[in-house]
Amino acid sequence: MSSGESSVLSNPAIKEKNISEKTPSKKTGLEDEMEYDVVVHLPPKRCRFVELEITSIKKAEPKIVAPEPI
Amino acid sequence: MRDFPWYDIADGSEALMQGDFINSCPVLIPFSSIEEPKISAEVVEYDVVIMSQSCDLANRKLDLVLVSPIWPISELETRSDFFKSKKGKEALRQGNVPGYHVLNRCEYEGFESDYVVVDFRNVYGVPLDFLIDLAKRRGKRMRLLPPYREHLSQGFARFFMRVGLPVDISPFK
Repeated sequence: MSSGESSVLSNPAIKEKNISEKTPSKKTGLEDEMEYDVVVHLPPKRCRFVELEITSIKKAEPKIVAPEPI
Repeated sequence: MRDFPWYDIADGSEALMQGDFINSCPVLIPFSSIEEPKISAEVVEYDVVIMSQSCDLANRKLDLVLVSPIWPISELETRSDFFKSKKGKEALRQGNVPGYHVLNRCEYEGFESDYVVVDFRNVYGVPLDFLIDLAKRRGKRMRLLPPYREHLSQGFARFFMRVGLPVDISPFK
């Protein structure tokens, strides 16, 4: 796996094999337990172009939230 | 059996909570290069549901609120044969489609909606004060109620914590 690759990307070959071996058995209910890796691109409701003036650029600072007492 | 409603309607001025729906929430998407002193960007609007924890919002323990876009299920049906199929919708209902989570229909007068699908893949961080002000301006809003709210949060956690193994164990014969 290359360093830029997401760790959640599965090997397509393995996935395909897993699905094809699980699919046929309707009687066993395995299909109900299968995960489907489906992605649908959904465009936003509305979209418009803007130009903004940059008023300042500064290095971010950490924002510390005090932990709750246990 | 007791009635466990999925939704309530909150006033615009009520404190934000996890599971609140905000319509037409603008999100700023800058273009890839920034050339001072100006920045070109797109403002895109989504209907969203708040994913951040209610206690973090109430105690102002965050500056950015995590929101997920939501869509009527018909939007996915028109764009995907998988979601058009009964099998796909059933997989979605059973929580077997990572990245998507389905919520029930709403029958409140004035807020009627079909099944709603939450998109966990395209979350945004919206400044808290901006969102509080926007919610006030939008007026009454739908609010997902427990335990469906926690179920939504769990769905996001399940999606986010996935680990894909580079070398999986071969299926048992």
